[in-house]
Formats: sequence, structure tokens, C-alpha cells
Amino acid sequence: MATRTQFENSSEIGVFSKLTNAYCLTAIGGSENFYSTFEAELADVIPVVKVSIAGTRVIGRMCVGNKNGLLLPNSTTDQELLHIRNSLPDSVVVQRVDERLSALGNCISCNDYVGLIHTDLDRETEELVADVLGVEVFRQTIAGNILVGSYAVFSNRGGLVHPQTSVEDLDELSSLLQVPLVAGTVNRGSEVVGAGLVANDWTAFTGFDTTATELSVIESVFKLRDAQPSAIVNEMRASLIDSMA
Amino acid sequence: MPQGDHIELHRKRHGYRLDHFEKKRKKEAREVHKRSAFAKKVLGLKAKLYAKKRFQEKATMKKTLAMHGERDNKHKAEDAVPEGAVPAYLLDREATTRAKVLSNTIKQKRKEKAGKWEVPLPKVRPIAEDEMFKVLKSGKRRHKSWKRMVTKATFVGPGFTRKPPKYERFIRPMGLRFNKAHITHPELKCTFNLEIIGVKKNPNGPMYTQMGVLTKGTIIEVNVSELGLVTPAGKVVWGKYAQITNDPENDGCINGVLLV
Amino acid sequence: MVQYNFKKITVVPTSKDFVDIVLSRTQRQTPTVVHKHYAISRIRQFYMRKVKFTQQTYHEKLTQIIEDFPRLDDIHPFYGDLLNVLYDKDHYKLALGQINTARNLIDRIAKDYVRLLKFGDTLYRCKQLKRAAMGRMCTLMKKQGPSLAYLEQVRQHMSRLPSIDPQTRTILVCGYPNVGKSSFVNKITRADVDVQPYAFTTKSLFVGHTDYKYLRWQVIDTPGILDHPLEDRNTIEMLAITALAHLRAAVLFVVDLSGSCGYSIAQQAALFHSIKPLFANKPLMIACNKTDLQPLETLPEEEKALIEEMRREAAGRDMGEGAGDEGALMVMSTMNDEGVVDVKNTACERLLQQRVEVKMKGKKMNDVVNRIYVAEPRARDHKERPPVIPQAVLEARANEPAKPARKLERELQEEQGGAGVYSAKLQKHYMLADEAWKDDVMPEIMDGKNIADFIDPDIMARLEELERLEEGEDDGGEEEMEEEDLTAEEKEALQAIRRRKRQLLDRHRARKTTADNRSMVPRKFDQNRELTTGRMEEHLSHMGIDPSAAVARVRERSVSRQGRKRGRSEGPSMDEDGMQIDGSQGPAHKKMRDRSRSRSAVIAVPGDGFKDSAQKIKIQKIKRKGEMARNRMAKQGEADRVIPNKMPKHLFSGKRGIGKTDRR
Repeated sequence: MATRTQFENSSEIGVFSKLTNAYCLTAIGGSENFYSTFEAELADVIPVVKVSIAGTRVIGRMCVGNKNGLLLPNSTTDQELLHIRNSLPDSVVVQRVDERLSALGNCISCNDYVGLIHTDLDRETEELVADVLGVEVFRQTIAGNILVGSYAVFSNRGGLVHPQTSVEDLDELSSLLQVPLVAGTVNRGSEVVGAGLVANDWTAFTGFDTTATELSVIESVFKLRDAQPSAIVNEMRASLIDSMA
Repeated sequence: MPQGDHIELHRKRHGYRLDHFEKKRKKEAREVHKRSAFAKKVLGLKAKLYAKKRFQEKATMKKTLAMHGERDNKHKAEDAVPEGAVPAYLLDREATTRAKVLSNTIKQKRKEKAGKWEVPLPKVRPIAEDEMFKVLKSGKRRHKSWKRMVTKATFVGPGFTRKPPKYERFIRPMGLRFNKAHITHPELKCTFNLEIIGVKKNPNGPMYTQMGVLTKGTIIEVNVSELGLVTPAGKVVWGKYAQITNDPENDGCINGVLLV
Repeated sequence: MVQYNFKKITVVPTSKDFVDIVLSRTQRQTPTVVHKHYAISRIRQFYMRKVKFTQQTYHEKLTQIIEDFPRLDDIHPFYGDLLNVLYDKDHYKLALGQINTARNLIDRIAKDYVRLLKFGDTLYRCKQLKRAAMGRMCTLMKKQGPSLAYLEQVRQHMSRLPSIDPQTRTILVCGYPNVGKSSFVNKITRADVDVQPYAFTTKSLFVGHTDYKYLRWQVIDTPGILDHPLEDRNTIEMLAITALAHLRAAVLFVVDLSGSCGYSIAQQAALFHSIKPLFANKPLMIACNKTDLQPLETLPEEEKALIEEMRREAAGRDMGEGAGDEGALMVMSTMNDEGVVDVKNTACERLLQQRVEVKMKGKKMNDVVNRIYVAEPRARDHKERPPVIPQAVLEARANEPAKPARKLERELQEEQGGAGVYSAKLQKHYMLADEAWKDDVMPEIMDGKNIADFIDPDIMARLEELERLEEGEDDGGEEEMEEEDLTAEEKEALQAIRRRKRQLLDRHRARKTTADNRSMVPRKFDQNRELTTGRMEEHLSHMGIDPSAAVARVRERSVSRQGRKRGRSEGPSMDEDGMQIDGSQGPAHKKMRDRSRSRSAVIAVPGDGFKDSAQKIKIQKIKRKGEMARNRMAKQGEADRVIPNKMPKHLFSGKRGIGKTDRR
């Protein structure tokens, strides 16, 4: 099920949180509202942890992870690293990466099996991604954007990418990632889907501005609540055309 | 009721607040005290403006009150005999007041004669030369000082061409040249923006008249064709004299009265 | 897409307020003090600034007004007509035009007076000119009073207009007065339109929103329309006509079957036919209302025929081919909610179809074609990539309400003082081997070292492994030989061999590990390994010297684990009880003294060049005396920078050519 939420009046929740199948990270906010949204949905199943990375709250853009591991930029302080290690289960490998492009969340996008990375990322980082996260790694762009983490969100069941991705690109990406993909927007037409959406295999959170149409596309493609991606081409077609064209 | 009127909608549904009218009445009652407190406290220009405003308000209020009370007021009985009343048997006689008529005509004639020279502003403040002119320095070393600039408003005819600088003793700056004046017709009590045709006389001297300097009291000739005045013979008058009644250089405009 | 928001127009002050605002602003924001003895240019500048400032303020404010109000030709024709109906286009344009003229006139006045001010030669004259300028500007504004008052009224009314988006999906409800339009809107939206049992309850356009197929639909309730020519229509009716004419919407023509509104079905049909042109290119539906009073079936034949005619008309002009027919006539009863939702759904569906058809033909369709496409993966290899959903989630999904109410942080926060007061512990959910460790404080830096640098998360595991390895090695060595079939001597011999082996190994290891830390006498000078500490001690004591210091020094070096470069300075010496011994001049004390004292200036030190201290003192005295006078007057000393000749004659005299300023 997809839930709408916002972080301190910002709808860019993908910036302030990271959701995987094994854990969920949220930024430390002034109040507990944001944290509790995740807590209510997830805390019975997976740990929901308040963290900061390198003293900032833009954790969703700084780190990348899946059920196997978590990669942090090298600007992460030792205390933060310790905090994250203590809060996550032992099965999750937490690792700091010496990478020039420190916003790992923008440069890498992955599920539990496959990962897309920024074309300029170091070779060592690439190896680290493969080892720690246990994924096949592809260097790719999405609709001409090298920031794959910002413009693609996918779980093991489906994914949402930049709205201007062409049909051919969609097919290619989908074959690489082995999940159904849809080009779409979040937050009332925002194309940075990575900033407006976090998802895992059974739930998703989107920004507060997300429209009902966008939300139903997200639910269908991520197969939340037994929805199927085929709904997008069938039942919702008219609504989509009318709201977009 | 339109959709956006939330206050009205609320009132319609729930009525006024319980103390609404009480509060309103009190506020109105308090208003007088507030005004007086302000009037006592206020200083300077604001005080002046406020006093003037209040005075006007009070005057109008008094007038309206008087108007309303006119019917009930006591008036003095008007039983005084009006002037020129005659008993009934004298009514059909022609009254001879010829002497009076004669003296009236003489007076009138005298007045007319004098009127030719009588102007609304008979006297003006004499203007010294150094107020009228500003000395300009010239020459390579800037120590020749034979040039003068007129610091008053001037009228320069449309066909005027400046002399070469070597010979130009008096300069009438472009910024101070005027060719329109606001002229009031004293009988019509109306003001028109009329074109100046020429300067008839500057009371400060013939030189200024010749240069077209416009100071207070100067007689100018204005184009009154748009007024549509006619001579007794039925011709349209287009040039008429007028006298300037303000200091054009201070006000930035020329005001005057038409000499009729 | 243009959004129409008339709420943002700023307040238009009355002419009197306008003058007050501008003048007080001028007074507050320009300098106020000037004196007549100032240079005339400064006085002129002072007054010019005032005139210009006043003009600028007027200009800004008037421009703001002119730009805030929408230009009727530029906005959507629906709004253009609506404003025309409500406020009269000519009047509106005239008022704005007058404001515009006033703005230009004020600019001209300011220009003229600034020009005149340039010739102001006294403070008095400048001031008079300024006064005249401001007076004329204000008079001009005063004359704009009626225009400003009108614009303010228009603004207030406009800000309360319902915000209708002319581009979006819209359902337009129209019909005779009192047929149940507003009741219908109230049923499907939350607009809360006033419903009363008399005609013309609704006097303006009302907007509500409803949902259908994930989309938001705008429902517009219009005032009732009577059947008469356009010229005779009043403002209220014109609102409905404007909406019908300009909005691309699904039109719902409500018909009162019962005639309880006061108009017969024939009259309603006549209205329908007379406003038919307005329905062109719009999905049109006839909604027969009040079926609770008069069902459609029991209607007299001739009235049925009228309705049928309207239905045919509606179905005929509908652009949709197949769907047009069955949806063109619907029955409903807003009284008992019968068919209301069906009517709404049908209307939405018909409009949606039409819009999609239009959009499919449009240019923008190519841009979104990728977004209504789901890319299904082609199998790349035979690897399974199943979703990872914890069992708990599946279970929770299976039995929905079994979810125990969990106390959320938000609730805790509210209980304990709200946001900003409550602060949750970060360690709360740590997953540690022992619960009690959660609160352990771990210093970040200890002894100048970052502790985190020394943390090895796997240390325990590694240690265990190492131990296991060692044990394994030992065992492995011994297990090779079976001890059972050995005699006692043999066993003893074996053990001796092993002991010896171990000794050798240990010695070797010791030598190997310590070799690079110890200072050794090279083998070349000590071939027989005779130069040991023991021998040195012996030798020195033979010579009659106490060897303890030298031995201590050597010992110290051999245990120099603690510091590499030099001997570790000891802490304050302690006696047996652990008390510091009073008065003992420990090394710490010595160091303290060392630091606090500097060397005396009068003691002659080799290298100073003095024979002895007496000589040094003498010379210092002479020096001080020589400097005394100079220092007292704070005069230039020999160490000060000096330029002997500031203008050398040869550089500054005579005629100079180009580029010869500094050399001749």
C-alpha cells in the first residue's frame, strides 16, 4: 500500500528516508510525525531507524542499500556509522565507501538483485556495490540523465522511472532489471521520482503532493495491494491520458 | 449568497456572537473619547490637519442641524418696510431719480477710463538685477563675466533663433521657457490653459519686456480663440491681455487673470 | 496551464489614503534636513530626490494596480465574459485606463519639475517648486477617487469568485429554476449550495469537486435559466449562459418531470431547444429529476414524446458514436438518492471519452505515449528473483484486523510535551547482544586517538579463529605420533626433544620479533657474543664505577615499548602508599621549573662575544645611555625607515616628454 507523507512540509520524502526490504532509515526531524508514519507501517516487521549522515538529514540521497547491505559515503562520521551498525540486524553489511561522488543515493539505484550506477563511478565502488549489496551492476543512464538514483526507483516487483524515458529505453531497462517498469511522475508532476517516492516489495511512501492518478500508477507498478501493472494500460488508460496530455 | 462569503454564511448559520451588538454599541460610545484623546495628543502638521478636518465636520454638522431646525426655530417677524415701498396711491407715478442716474454715469465713465490702466495687481515687488540674472563666466581662463543668464521664467517667441555665443549677452534657458498659461476669466470664474502670444509689459522695465521675462504682475497677451469671445461688432477675439498673478519660477506654472 | 487566482490582487486604497500613503512614505524614506547655507547643488539634489521619490512611489503603486487586474482580452474567454457580465467591461476598462493616464501624467509632472529644479537658485525657490510638484501630483490622484473606489469594489468581488478552472474536466448543471440542480450538486460534491423551495435560490456560479476514476471533477452549479431571448436576460441568468458558452464541459440539463418547479415539461423542452446552440461540441445529457413525485413511465404520452425528442437531440449531437445513445437520458431523484450516482458516472464517463478522443488526436499525445506503457522484462537468464516479503507482512495481510495497536513515537511525543520538547532516545531500538549495553557511553576520542579507528567489528570472531588455529596446530603436531606404543624412556626422550624444539622455536621467535627494536652490537665487533649487559656491568664494577645507571639505561631501551624515540618520562613518584612524596624534587617538578625560568641577560654566554659578565653589564649600560634621549622624545631611530630626499631635483625639474616621469 502506498502512503502519502511529508517531511517538515517538504514532499521530497525520498530525500529524507531510505526504504529497503530489511530496514528503513529516516531523517532525524524536529517532530516524530515523519518517523511515526514509517513506524506505523513497518516497525513490526523491519527496524525503522532515525539517522543522520555526515551531519545532514538528506540521508536518502547520501546512502544506498538493499536487504543485504548499506553503503555510506566517506563523509559519514564514525558515530553515525556506529549508530547505524547498532540499529540494523547483523545480516546487513554496513560499509563506508571512498567515492568522489558522495551522494550515493543519487548515483546508485538498486533492488536486491540488480543495481544501476552512475557512469562516472569508480571501479572500486562498482565492485563494492556488487560485493556488499550482492547485486549485478550496470552502468546506465535514464532518459539521458546520469543520476540514476534520482530518476529511478525500483523494488523486486516493479519500478518507476523518469517520465521522459522512451519506450525502447523502458524495454531495455526492464530487461536489465528484470522487473516491469513504467515511466511516471510523483508529487503532482515532479520528474525526480527518487526524491518523491520510496518503495520496497510490499509498501511504498510518496510525497504529500502526489495525485490520486500518480498514486494508483505507483500501486499498480509496484504490485502493492494485489494491483497489477497491466491496470495502467487497461483501466487507468483514459484517466492517465486525460490528466497528462 | 455567493460561494466565497464565509462570514455571511457563518452568520446565516449561527447568527451573530452573543455580545456582538453590545460590543458594537460600546465601541461607538467610546469613539468620542478616543477621538478627543487623539486630538489632545497629536502634534505638528498632523494636529493641524486633524483640527481642520474636525472643524469642517463640525461646521457641516451645525449647518445640517440648522437646516433641520429651521422650521421649528423662532424667527424675528419681518415687518420692516422694504426700501422703495410706496403707498398705493403713488404706485402709478414715475419716480424721478435722475440726479442719481447722472452721477452714476459719471462714475461709470470715470471708472472705465481709469479701468484702462487699472489692473488686478497694481503694485509689484521690484526685482533687482542680480536676482534676475546670474552671471556666467566665459573665456579660456573663465574670468570674463559679461554673459547673463535669466533666472526667471521667460517667453520666447516661436521663431526665435539664438545668436552666436560670442554675441549672446542674455541667455534664456530652455528649462525656464513657457508658452502656456492658466488664465482665469474673472467673470466666468473659469480657468483655461491658454497659449501665450507675447509679453506686453513687464513692470520691472522695458528691457525685461523685450526679453519676455515673466514675473508676477507682467501683462501678457494670450490666445483666447477657444473661449469664443466676440467683439460688439461680432468679430471673434483671439488675442487678449492677462496679468500674471503668481511667481512662475517658484510654482512651475503661470497663473493669471484675464483683463476684461 | 494558466491558473486564475483573483485573490492575489492587492488592495486598492481610496484616493485620500493613496495620497497619505505616498506622502508619508516620501517623508519617511527621504532625508528631511536641509539648510540654506548648503551648496546650492546639494539643496537642489535634496528636493529633486523628494520629487522623484514621490513620482516613483506613485508610479509603482499605480503600475501594481494596473498589472494586478486581469486584462479582459488576455484571460480565458470564460472569465472575460464573466467579468463583463458582472462588472461591465467598458466601465472596467475605463477605470484602468484612467489610472494609466494618471500614471503618465504624474511622470510628466515629475519630469517637468525636476527640470525646473535644476534652475532653482535658492532654497526657498527649490522648496516652492517641490511643493508645487507634489501638490499637482496629489491633486491628480484625488481626481482618480471614483475610479479607485470602483476598482476596489471589483477587487473585493473578484476575490470571492469561485475558482473555476476552465480547462479541466467539468460537469455543468443547468436547467429551469427550481428543478433540483443545486440538490444534485449537493449530493455529489461537498459544495454545500443553498437549497430552498423557491426559484433563483442560486444567484451565482457554485463550484464543487467530485472524484471519478482517480480524477478530480469540477461540478458547476448554475443559476436557473428562463426561456427568453438573450437580450432580456438578467445578470444572474447571464452567468449560467457564460458558463455554458465557454466551458468545455459535460452539460447536464436537469428536467423536472413533476412540474413542481412551476414550469411544465413543454416549457422546459422549449428552453432546451432555444439554448441548443450552446451545447454544441459538448457531451449532453438529459437528467430527469423528481422521479419520486412523477416517474417517467407514468408520464402522459405527449410529454413523453417531448422528452424523447430532447433525448434524440442530445444523443444526436453527442460526438461519441456508440456510447451516446444509452447515456443521453437518465432518471434520478435527488430526494431519495435514486440514480444520482449513475447520472454522475455516466456524465463523467461521456466527457472523459470525449476528452480522450480529442487528446488522442492532439500533438501532446506523442509525449505521453511512453507513460501509458508498461515495460515487461524479457528473461535475461534463468535466475530466480523472487520478491523478499517478510512472513510477518504476509500474515498481517491475511488477517487484517489482528494488528496490535502499537504505541507510536508520535503518540509518545504528544504525551510527553509535544514536538520540540520530547526527544526520543536514538539507542532505543539498538540490536545488541545485551540489552544493558544500550546505554553504554562510548567516548569518541580517548588519549588523543579516535576510538573508531581502532574498532574491529570482527575482533572476537578473529580471536576465536586464531585460537582455534593454534590449538589445531599443536594438536596436529602431536597427534602425528601415537604415544601408546612407546616405552617410558622413549616417551621421556620424545618429550625432551619436544621441549628442546619448543625452546629453540621460542628463542628464534623472540629474536625475530625483537630484533628490530633492540640496539645490537653488530656481529662484526662481537663475534663471540661477548658484549652483553652482564659483562658490561661486571667490567664497570671492576673498574670501581657504579654500573647501575648504565645498566638501567640499557634495560630501559630494551623494554622501550612505550616510546620509541626516548625514555618515557615518569609520572610523579609515588611511595608505597600511593602518596606523592612531599618535597621530593621529582622530574615533573623539575620540568616545571625549567619552563618558568628564562636565562639571565647579564650572564655572559659563550658566543655573545663578551669576556665576562662585568664587561657585558658595562656595555649594556653604555648602550642604554645612548638610546635614552632618543627614546624619551620618541624620535626617529636608526632602525626607522628613512627617505632622505623625497623630491629629488633631477626627477622633478624641467620639461618632461612622454614616459619620462621617473627617469631623465
